[in-house]
Amino acid sequence: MTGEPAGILRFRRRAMGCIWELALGADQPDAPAAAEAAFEQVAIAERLLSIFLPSSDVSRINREGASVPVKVSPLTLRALAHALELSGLTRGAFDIACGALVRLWGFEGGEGRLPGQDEIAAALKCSGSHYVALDAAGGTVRLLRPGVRLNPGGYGKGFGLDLALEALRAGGTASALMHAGTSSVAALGTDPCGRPWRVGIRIPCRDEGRADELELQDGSLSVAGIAEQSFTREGRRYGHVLDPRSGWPVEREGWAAALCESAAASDALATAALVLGPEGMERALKGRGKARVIFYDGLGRRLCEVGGEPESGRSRTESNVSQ
Amino acid sequence: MSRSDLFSREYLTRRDFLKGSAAAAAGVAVFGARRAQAEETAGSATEEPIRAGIIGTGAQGTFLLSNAVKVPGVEIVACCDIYEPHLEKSLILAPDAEPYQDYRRLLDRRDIQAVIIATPLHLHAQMSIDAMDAGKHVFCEKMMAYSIEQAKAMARKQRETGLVLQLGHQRRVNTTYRHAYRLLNVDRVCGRVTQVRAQWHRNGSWRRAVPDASLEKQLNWRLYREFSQGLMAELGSHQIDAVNWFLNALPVSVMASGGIDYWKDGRTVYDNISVIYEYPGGIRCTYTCITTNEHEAYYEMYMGDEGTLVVTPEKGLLFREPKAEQLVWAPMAHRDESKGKEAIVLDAGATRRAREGTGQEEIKADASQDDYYVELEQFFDSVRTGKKPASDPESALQSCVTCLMANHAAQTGRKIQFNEKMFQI
Repeated sequence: MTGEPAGILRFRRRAMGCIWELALGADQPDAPAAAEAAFEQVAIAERLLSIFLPSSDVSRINREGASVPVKVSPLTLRALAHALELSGLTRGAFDIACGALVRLWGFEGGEGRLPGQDEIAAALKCSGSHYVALDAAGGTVRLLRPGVRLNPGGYGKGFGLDLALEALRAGGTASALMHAGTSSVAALGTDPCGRPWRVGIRIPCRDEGRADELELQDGSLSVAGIAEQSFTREGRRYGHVLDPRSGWPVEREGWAAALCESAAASDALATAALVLGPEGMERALKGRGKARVIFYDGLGRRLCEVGGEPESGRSRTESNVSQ
Repeated sequence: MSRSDLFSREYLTRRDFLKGSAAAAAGVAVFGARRAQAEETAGSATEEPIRAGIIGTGAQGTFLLSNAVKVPGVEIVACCDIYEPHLEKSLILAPDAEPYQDYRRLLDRRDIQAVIIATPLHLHAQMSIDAMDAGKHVFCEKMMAYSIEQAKAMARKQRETGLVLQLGHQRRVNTTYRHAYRLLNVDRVCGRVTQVRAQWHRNGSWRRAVPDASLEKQLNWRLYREFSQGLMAELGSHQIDAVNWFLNALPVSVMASGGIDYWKDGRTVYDNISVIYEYPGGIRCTYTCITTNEHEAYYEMYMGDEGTLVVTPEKGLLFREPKAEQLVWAPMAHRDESKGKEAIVLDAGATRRAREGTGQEEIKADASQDDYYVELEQFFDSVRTGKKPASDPESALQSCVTCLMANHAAQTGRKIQFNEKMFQI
């Protein structure tokens, strides 16, 4: 969070394995209670989607979903339906049902390992959103093949942000900025001075400062890159972002920043952007309104921007997420 | 879902989500799992679902509701709250439920067999009694009632009607607690218990955000004496219920001191309270509940001449006294470092199995479900089978009396002696 105007209250909480921060205007009545309500939603998102909590809906689906339909919270159903649609939009470049691959590569909370091609082929057979069946009427989820696992990485934190911002909005908060471990940030309204929130993008190799600075108003920004989490074997670096279609880590250097209203969607788009690259992302976002993705090289220099078409009758400058 | 919805937060709130063809077009398999589930879940094909309603859909109510909708064989057909935004929220969780603002209209429905009550404390008794009068089984949030008389009236009504009345003391169904209970009472891992220390410490105002000042008392009812019995009822009763249970005893006296010393925001219930209970045999239990520091959050600690057992819903830890003999099964138990001292972690089921070598364990270790889910599952099971729930009216009345007398002791500055009559239905 940058360019912070005076009169901001900050709240911090640990959830989903990282630090979350929420900035509210100091003049907001009952700011601590509003923050409490927002963090409660984050806790709910974690309880529903975390693969590290055995009682979460996702853990239950992973354990039992291949043998019986698993009854889940309607919120989980919404999240999964949304994630599956995003998977369809990105043609599988983002895929919540690639848990078998993530686990195989040791990225499910581990250090990373280099699997054999035969193992990858076997895990690929158990990966893909088409193996996930939602029954909205019955409130159940089923995995259509044994071995399929959901992994909400690239979605869950964004979902937590969306729930939190909805709670803040419903409680009457007009101005808030919240981030989840700095990889996704979501803004409600403007900053307390009435200007769009200013968010800096920092890239590890650019210690001297920010690579870019963007403005957010009623929108979300997610950044993905492979440099932050990776492991090296035999001189080769393997990043933690997997291409669910090939089963191998993405090799693309650089960074992608995705902007749209929903943080869950921007989270997924940023991950998908690394997989698809600018051309693929452009195709995916064509005719999809305001969502856009900015690509940066390994040094944090802007390469190009895709998506972000103005909706009919609206000019780019009115777009809710402006640069 | 329309194209732009995918990138907006509307996916969270749309009531008609997944209806229509959008989901299928995006490659989501939607199938009629109702029938599949009925065929695959043993017995459910022949059993009618239990139709239930919920009264009070605020924070706690929606949390219960989100778990209730997951219980197989249960249909939530009615939601009731006088506050429109809370009612709206509940309908997202139970889209097929009928909304009500007057709980009596909900109780009028003859197809409803059971109700979940999660309203402010002062309403528990009236609503539970009305529900039982209407022939409904009742799951009512803890604490049981605002006053001892009200709690007794609820228990009497349950006896009179024979319906299920379960209270929301969910530690009674928690696997760690159930296992710890056995370790303390059957295996006597602490030797002779002499002292208990328990706390629930938070650092926060305990306020909820209020969109409009006129709603202050309605939404922040926990802070006002006319609706609430404060920290002892809302937090303490969970733990005091566990202490009564673990000690297999009721207290003989209580001293307490409390005040509104930090959050001077118009509230009329204490923002901190310290309590000393005396149990038979000279066992003393000190309990504190505060809102200005969250160090070590919450736990109950049983101290005996051979060991110390620290229990929370998430984890139990056993520390053996240096002079005590090593337990046969200790080397096989999970270990953890806590405060620089090695402790044995209670992995519900595992330690006991290791000791007995039988693989048999009465208390099934199941960390895969929320306690809220388990208690509701148990409630609906009791409705079906007539089995007595773990948190029954007798024990809940005892917890209620134990907590209310601490408040009374603090308010009067006197040491209160309990007598048998207080706990009698």
